[in-house]
Amino acid sequence: MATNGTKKKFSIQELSLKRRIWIAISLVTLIPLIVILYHFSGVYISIHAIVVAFLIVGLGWWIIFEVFTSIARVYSNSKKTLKNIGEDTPDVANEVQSLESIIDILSSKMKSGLEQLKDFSQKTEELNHEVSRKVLVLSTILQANDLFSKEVPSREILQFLNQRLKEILDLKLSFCLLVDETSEKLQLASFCGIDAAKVEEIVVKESSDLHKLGKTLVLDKENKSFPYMRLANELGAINVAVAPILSRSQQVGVLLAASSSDDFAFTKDDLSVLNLFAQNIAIIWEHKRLSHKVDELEVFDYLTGLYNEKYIEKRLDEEMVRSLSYQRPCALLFMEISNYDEYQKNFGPIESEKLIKKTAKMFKENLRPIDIPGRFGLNRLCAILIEKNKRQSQVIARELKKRIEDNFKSQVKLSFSVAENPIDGVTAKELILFAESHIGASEANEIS
Amino acid sequence: MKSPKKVEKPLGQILVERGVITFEQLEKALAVQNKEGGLIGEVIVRLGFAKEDEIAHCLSLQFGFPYLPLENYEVSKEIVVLIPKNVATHYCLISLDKIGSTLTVAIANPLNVQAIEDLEDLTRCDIQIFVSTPSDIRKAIEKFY
Repeated sequence: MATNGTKKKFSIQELSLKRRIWIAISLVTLIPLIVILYHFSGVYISIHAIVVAFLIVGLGWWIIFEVFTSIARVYSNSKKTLKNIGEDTPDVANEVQSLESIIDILSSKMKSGLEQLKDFSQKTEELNHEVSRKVLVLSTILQANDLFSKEVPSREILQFLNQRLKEILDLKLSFCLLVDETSEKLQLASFCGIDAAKVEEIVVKESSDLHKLGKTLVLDKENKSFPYMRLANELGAINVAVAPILSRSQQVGVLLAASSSDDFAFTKDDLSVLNLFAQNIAIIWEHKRLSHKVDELEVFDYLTGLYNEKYIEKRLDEEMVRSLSYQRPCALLFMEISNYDEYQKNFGPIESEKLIKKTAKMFKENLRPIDIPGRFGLNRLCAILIEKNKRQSQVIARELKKRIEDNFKSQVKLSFSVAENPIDGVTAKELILFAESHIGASEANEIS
Repeated sequence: MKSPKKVEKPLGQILVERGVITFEQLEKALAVQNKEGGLIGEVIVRLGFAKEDEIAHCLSLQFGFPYLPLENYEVSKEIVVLIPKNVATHYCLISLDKIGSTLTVAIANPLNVQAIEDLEDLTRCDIQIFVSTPSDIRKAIEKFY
């Protein structure tokens, strides 16, 4: 390798054209000159020396020939290149001038090519950015749906969407307001980059208008006509986009995005993202509303099939009104499996659920058909005893205790309490509170 | 005074048996009660089949509960509050006197056994009953509580 390197180092091909010309001219002119000078100075020059001199001159001419041949080759190659890129060869007879023109053409072509490449690279970068943003938007929507299917509270999902919106659009702040079904006013649902108290203060001032947006409104360098300038000022934002959250063509909230960058305009894509997030928030809102309705309609406990707490409270209130109208008592009986924790520890959660189910079944079977049995909490059952006073209810409680405990061969310990309208309260809440606070207070069948 | 009798017999039936109202009137009153709710005694009075004091007298005679017109009766505040107002309003009764462990009570419906049991549990007293008209008792409740 070292030999090759040395060869290359001294190879004439490696030398510049100028240097090669110099060497060639030196060889062609100096050597004959030296020979002539020697000849005229009377020095005898052998025939061998003359032959060597001729060879050296020949070498000089060969170098000159090589130089011109290489120029001709470059010229020829350049012409071919020009032809390949679809350009015409300059109409000049002189090859050197023609070569200069070709080089000019190629240089300008290369320059424009480089500029195109630069543009292309910039466009690719923009495209990549756009693609990655779209991927991020889609992944955010998918993640939100995933959280949704895992029954994560809607407030947390909205908070997550707000956070992502701020990151994706590179905003200063964003927040979401949703209509509260009870008050029918806009309320803060999620926020990012701003203090909740500040938003609530602004919402109080602006909510009367914000819930009638109709369409997405924008304030930026290109859109100066914005009806909520005071809102923008309060937020300390130069650019604001606010999109309506629509559910079944009705506005149920607003999603606001704000930025404080100078010389900024929301792009069409930015607004699409904002509206996409608003649509997803609308879906969450609608689902939450429907779930809430389903919960409200649900009257049975999923495990025992008895009535649930909500229904019992409502039904008790109704029954108390009836009992007052007929001057009759109405009692609420509570029964608690007092050793439930211990049972669960010994037999596990599945057996414990079976115990609750079995106890609930026995509980119901030992009441009158007109009584209203329910489940109240994890290990508590209750019953509205129609037209039973405290004394009668205590008799019922004692019988229940004996029958159920005997059935479980004393593996289960039960505590009872009884509350009666009108003695212990005049509303369902009062009776429930009384019964709850007296359960287990007096063991050994002393039922309060 | 007699000890309270605990009787469970529908008031309407007693009124028919005592001839205060006819069976047809009772049927009509029951139909109205089914439709509109309320106590049978109040429905009968509202329909004009009998007066409040007639019903009270009837109950008094049938079961031996003495009848007490409360109109001009003064009751001590200390005795009244032995029974909470909501209980008195609910069962339409008012306490009148207490001697030893016996509490005397005026009640519109002396056949309401559960109400009397509640009073026993609440006051830990034996309950002695007087019959009075619902409107007299309501006026007394408003006056003395």
